[in-house]
Amino acid sequence: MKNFEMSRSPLVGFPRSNGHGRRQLGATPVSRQGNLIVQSSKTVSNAELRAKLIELIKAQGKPYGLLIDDIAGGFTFTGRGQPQAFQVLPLVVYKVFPDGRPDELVRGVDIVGTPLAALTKIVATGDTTEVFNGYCGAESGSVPVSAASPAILTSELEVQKKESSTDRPPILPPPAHDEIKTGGQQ
Amino acid sequence: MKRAERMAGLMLLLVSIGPGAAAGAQVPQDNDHTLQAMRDEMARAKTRLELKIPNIEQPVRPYYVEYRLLDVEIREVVAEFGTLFTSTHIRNRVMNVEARVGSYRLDSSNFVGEEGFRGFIGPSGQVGIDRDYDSLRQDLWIATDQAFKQAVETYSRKQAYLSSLARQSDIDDFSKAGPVQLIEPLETPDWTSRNWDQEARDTSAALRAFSEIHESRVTYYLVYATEYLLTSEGTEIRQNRRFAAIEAGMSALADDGVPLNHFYAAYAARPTGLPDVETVRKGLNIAGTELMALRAAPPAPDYTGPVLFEARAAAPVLAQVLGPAVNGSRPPISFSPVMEQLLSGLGGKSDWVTRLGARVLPASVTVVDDPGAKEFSGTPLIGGYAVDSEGVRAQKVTLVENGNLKGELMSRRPGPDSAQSNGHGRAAFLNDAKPTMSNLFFSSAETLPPADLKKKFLESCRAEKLSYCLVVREMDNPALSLLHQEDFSELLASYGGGAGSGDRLPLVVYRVYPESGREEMMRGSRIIGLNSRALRNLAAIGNDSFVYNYMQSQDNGFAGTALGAFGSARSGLPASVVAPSLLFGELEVRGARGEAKRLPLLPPPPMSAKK
Repeated sequence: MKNFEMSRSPLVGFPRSNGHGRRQLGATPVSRQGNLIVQSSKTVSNAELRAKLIELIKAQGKPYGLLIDDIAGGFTFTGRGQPQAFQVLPLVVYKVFPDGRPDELVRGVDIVGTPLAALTKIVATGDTTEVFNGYCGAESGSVPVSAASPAILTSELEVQKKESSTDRPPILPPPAHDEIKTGGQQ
Repeated sequence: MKRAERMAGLMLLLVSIGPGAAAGAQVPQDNDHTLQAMRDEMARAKTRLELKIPNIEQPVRPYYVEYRLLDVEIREVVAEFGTLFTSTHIRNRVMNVEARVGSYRLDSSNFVGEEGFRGFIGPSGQVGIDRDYDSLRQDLWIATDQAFKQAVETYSRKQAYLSSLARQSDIDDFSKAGPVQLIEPLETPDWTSRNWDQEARDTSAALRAFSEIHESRVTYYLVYATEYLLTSEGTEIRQNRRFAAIEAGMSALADDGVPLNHFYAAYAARPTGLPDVETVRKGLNIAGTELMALRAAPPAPDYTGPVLFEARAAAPVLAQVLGPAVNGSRPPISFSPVMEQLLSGLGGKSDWVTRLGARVLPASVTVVDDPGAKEFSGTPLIGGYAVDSEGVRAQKVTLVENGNLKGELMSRRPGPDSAQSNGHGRAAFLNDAKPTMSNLFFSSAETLPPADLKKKFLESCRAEKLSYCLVVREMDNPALSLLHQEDFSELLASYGGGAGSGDRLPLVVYRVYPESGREEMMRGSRIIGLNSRALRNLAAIGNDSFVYNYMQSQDNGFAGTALGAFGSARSGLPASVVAPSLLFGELEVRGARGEAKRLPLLPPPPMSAKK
């Protein structure tokens, strides 16, 4: 821990802004992320990373591990009034089996945890950095941010089931895939 | 066996789309696939949409399905003191699907459940603007599904609630209406005939002459719309609507810090009908001059006595008082009595319903609502239409004849006095269609010329031994005169509750001294108790009929109440009231409204009248 992203609201020991006071139009600036770059001095190829994942699954005696390919977003509570927990909403998640079966696409899980505990479980990183560009929302609104990081292997992460809905699916099939044709563009 | 069933389904389908296809043949050749997509999805909804509910033998099906789609193109230019504020041009298509479960007698509508109105959650939304077939059909499929399921849920909630009531209404939920087919050719909007940006700059510059005006907005709002309606009863409508507006609001503070506002509004049936730059500048100049005069005017004291409404002010008062009174449909059944109280507080309950034949206005007065009228003595009216938002042909309705209540404005929601719609179910933006005025004519068999009316007014003033009496020259429309939503909400919080019992907001009021004839402007008053009962005993009526064109608000809680007359082009439904000057024998007026604010610390910066 070397420093913080600082706005002009000083902290004890950090009296100056380092130009991270950002905001959406109309909001009051607070310190926000700009381009966040994560680098690792200990990298392995993505194939080796996968091999390490399977090793870990076997070592921990789990039936499968998870490979998270894409996420929709996530959020962290930063206030002191709530537990400092984060939730990440994955989009594409595969079960990876230790016995060589093909990976299985699954749905309906969210990653949850506390930031420090989760990040200290990183055991290896990949050697290819990828960039995420997007908007990040917080007290001062939505601002454009970037994050760059290699793939990360963690030895332990908690997932929970997504909220589910009991709504009935549509009664009729989609118009274009109805066995009984009705109309159509002339 | 399975195959045979499918064949039977197909046969049914062919039969049901038969008439639709025939109507489609009349459609002029264009690239619009809207009605076709609606027709095809409607055919599925009518024949195959059903929900099997556990422990209930018969599957539930909708008895009525309705697709409404509004295609709007809006050009909006806003300017202040000669400078453009915004200039936008947007096109939108919004859709609403309604499915009803039950029967015309008792169905899933007219019910405000515990969760309140659930209008815009599922079956409404924006759709693609290309008038294409496939994407609209996909949207219709999902929206119909959601509307139907919601109707099933609401219907069972409503039945549960009704079973707890001792006596149930004997009024049907929905009236039958014959199918109407009206397919107009698509209209190409005309935006180019005038330079609207420049006109907004030029007209708004007129207010540069008044440096004490803190803020002003001059808005040009031009709308072309195509309304589509397709129902399971066979109605198919594509009709064009258009209107154009110039609306301006302006604000200032009096020397004692009380906020003052004024407005200017001009409406036309299409953009080319709007007044030219010189005319608008003149109108803004009058409003600005009056606002400056209001700054200098003394605050109004409390007053009880005769009040003369000049025609300009009488027409908007009638719009506010008669709007709710002539509404003949029953209000929705409400789960919580709070809703009912709220509605009657805002003046949303008709005082006239169930009084057919009774005298409700002076015996000389006749009131007619005529959606077919185009003009009055050469002045264009803006409230007309051919078919209402529920697909019922517009009818001329005599509401009051010789002072007696003869009829009410009806949508397809029946009421205690009438079960049938007379084509007055109107909605601006796919809201619930409510009985709404179009072109309302208030006339009297006994009238006085303005000079005689004034004489009579001054005589009654002398008879009352008052040192002065009040003339109202113009009524306020806070939806236009107030520039900020917060101010409007604040006003409603203090005023809105009184609208039902007859609180009215005059803008330009003069004291007239009967001895000398001297007139003196005063500011900030509120009229009390000007409701439909007060109209019954009008002292005299002028012969100077005035055309008041305005926008009725469709906002939730406003529509159908006295506040419904406080509309603007943005939320509005065009309407006209034609009415003469009115003399009230006695009205109560309360003084001073508005909280004083601190004046600006510095004087206004220099601004030349010319730009």
